[in-house]
Amino acid sequence: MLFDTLSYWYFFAAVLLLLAALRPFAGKWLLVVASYVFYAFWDIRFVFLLAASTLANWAFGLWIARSEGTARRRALAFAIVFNLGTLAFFKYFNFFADTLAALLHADPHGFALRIILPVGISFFTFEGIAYAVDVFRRDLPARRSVLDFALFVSFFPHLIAGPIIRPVHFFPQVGQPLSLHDEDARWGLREILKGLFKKIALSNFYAPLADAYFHGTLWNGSAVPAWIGVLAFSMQIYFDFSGYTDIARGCARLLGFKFPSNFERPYLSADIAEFWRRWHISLSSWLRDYLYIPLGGTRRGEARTCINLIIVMGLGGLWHGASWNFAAWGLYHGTLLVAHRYWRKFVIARGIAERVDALLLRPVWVALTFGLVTLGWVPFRAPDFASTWNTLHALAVVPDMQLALAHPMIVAVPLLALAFCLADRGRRLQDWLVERAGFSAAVTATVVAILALEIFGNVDAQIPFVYFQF
Amino acid sequence: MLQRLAPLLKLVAATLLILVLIDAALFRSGVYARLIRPESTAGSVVSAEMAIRYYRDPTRHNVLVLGNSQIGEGFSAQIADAASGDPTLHFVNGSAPGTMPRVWDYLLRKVDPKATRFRAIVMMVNYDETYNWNNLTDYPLDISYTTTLLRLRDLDDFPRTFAQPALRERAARAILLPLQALHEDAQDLLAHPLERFHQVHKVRPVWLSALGPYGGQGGALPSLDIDVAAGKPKSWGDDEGTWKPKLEGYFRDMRKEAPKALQATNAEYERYWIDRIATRYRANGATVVVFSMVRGPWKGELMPPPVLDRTLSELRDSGKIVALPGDAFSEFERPELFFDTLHLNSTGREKFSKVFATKVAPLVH
Repeated sequence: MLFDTLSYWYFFAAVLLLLAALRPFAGKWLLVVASYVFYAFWDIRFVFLLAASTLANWAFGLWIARSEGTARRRALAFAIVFNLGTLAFFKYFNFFADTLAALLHADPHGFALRIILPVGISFFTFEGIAYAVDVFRRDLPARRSVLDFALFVSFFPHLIAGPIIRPVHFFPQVGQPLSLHDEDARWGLREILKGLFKKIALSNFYAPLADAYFHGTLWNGSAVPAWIGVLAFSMQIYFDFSGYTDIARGCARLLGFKFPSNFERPYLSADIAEFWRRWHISLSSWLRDYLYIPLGGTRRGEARTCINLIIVMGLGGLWHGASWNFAAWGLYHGTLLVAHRYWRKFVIARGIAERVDALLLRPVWVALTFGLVTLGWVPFRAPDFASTWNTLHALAVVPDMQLALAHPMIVAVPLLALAFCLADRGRRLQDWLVERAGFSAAVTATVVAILALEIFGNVDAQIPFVYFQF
Repeated sequence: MLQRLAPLLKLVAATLLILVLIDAALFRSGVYARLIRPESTAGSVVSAEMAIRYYRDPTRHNVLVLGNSQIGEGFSAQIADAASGDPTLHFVNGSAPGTMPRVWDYLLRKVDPKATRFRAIVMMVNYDETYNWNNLTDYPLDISYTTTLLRLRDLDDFPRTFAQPALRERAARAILLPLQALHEDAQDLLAHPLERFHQVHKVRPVWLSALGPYGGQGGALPSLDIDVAAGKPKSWGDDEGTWKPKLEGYFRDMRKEAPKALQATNAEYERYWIDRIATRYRANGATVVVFSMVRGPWKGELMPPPVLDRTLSELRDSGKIVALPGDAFSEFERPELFFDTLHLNSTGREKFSKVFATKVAPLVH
């Protein structure tokens, strides 16, 4: 049941209407049952995994809360090992088995198991860890109600591909009676339509272009196809993932829950550190709070800070998938973050920060950051190191713009998106639509959005969301 | 309950109301259908619909002939009229390339809502599905063909005629959001509106002509000495370079049997749709005739004549349909009457139309 199918919207409408008819306690049951039904549509076997993970993490929470001192630390360690062990088994077992076999020059089939990756496992295990750590740190009390906890883990808008929800943000919203205000309705609808447009019209436009390049023979190293393929994937992954998040946030809002922002126009970042504050925010902040800071963050000297950055980004890369390509992508970003750190130190030491940060130069830095991020998508998308290398080699050649002009939409869409971002600076248009526009303006905008979706959307392509594989 | 969702419901209701009005004004009224690119799948059905309305003669007994491009190329209503020997009979060619009985059912409902405008409906059907490799039930193009024919009340019925959930979903979307189903056409219209108006103005009469005075295509396939046991030519003659690449695959696949399960579902498909059309027309006393279209060159030589399968035989035996004999047109399965491996040429068209009229006319009461 994908967000871009009619069946999902029938399901969502039914859940919404039922939720409005029920009292809060029954509403929680409804949302948990609906979430499990939603999850069962992917693979009914993994419903048991989700339930087991939920019960275990709920029990770990109570254990941590009841314990003190060493016992408390031990309980936390068990919770983390349980979640990482689950993730490692389902997601990384074959990867490590293959790597070990390669090191031993052995047949990988002797090590590998036939394990299917349960959809959403990376997300709900990270949420389990966040819960255990938050309870350990006494940032929140352990949840006594298993129903509340089950809702936190399984709540269907974020179950499959995030955003990664923090327990401290979620639990205060549980059990509130559903009562939508005008702003909730407009905000929710706006995000859903925006997300659908990003996915169905924009991501589905770019996906075949990126696939044609990366699934093929990489076009014998020709520059133009490489540029088109890499740029197309850069656009696809942004529109796909941020579109998914928009729909998830919109649905959650209509069901009475507020999810934090996950994307803040990341391709308009002027440096790589800013990019990571605006891209997949729920993951980058999770890595910061539950990995980077526990590793020492910036508190243990310059060298250790740099190593921490590399470790965190490398693991963040591996979180995306069991492949050295993802690790390479993470390490690349870690290296960029370290380089940026030294660059800022240099700029400040030379007293030229004001000039470097001048508004006039910002487009240059934005373009540079976008270029570096886009180069990083090569190992992320390429099936192996050889393809990565061949693509990077092809990108080094200046392309013949004649062929690029044959696909004007590749350039036109980002330019139109940029124009929209400039017109909607600070989301003033979107906020006006939600907070101040009259009813007829809101209806007109909704109708126009739906018509645009109908005309420019490519629903029949049925391209799965990129982040479902993680 | 409604109170809790009031702001959302108000917004959604107002939006839906406007969308329904736009839908009614653009799609259900037929305004958009007139602007559809005539060569597109949906456009070809719109052209067939226009041709049926245009050529139907209310002063005579109209016999509507439905089929795909084999009928489009191989049947001339004008020749059939002249050959039938009955001046009160009037044949109408309602064919559209690539279409099958599911599309014809919705097309008939559109052009003849009360099933009273035709004295007979004559449809080309597969008498048996042994060699048919298309999955007729889950034929995705049917959604494109029928987009302009569907109404909101088909939301329950039409999607259920597909087996695959993804196609059911797509069929439902085509009914609810016709603009989405026609999005490529709409994008093209928005990008080149004037060009489209000119194109429609230019091409539509050509389509009307193709179902009227059109004389068929010239050219013919070569005569080849066939090895019946091997199912292929003994030699390709002097023009091997020309014909071998074009015909080799045709001979190779001619006797390739489809999987039994597919044969069964296709037979059930034919039975369901022919029964559905026949039930509606028989209720008003119209005759529903089915026939096996001329299959292709050399097929009469290499394959046994088609025999009506069990499902269609049941319909015939119950009196709902009249079925012409399987070999009624086998005599035309000769290469000199075809311009390619599927379509009759102008000579074949003329000969077939005459014989067709003489066989069908006596069945129409």
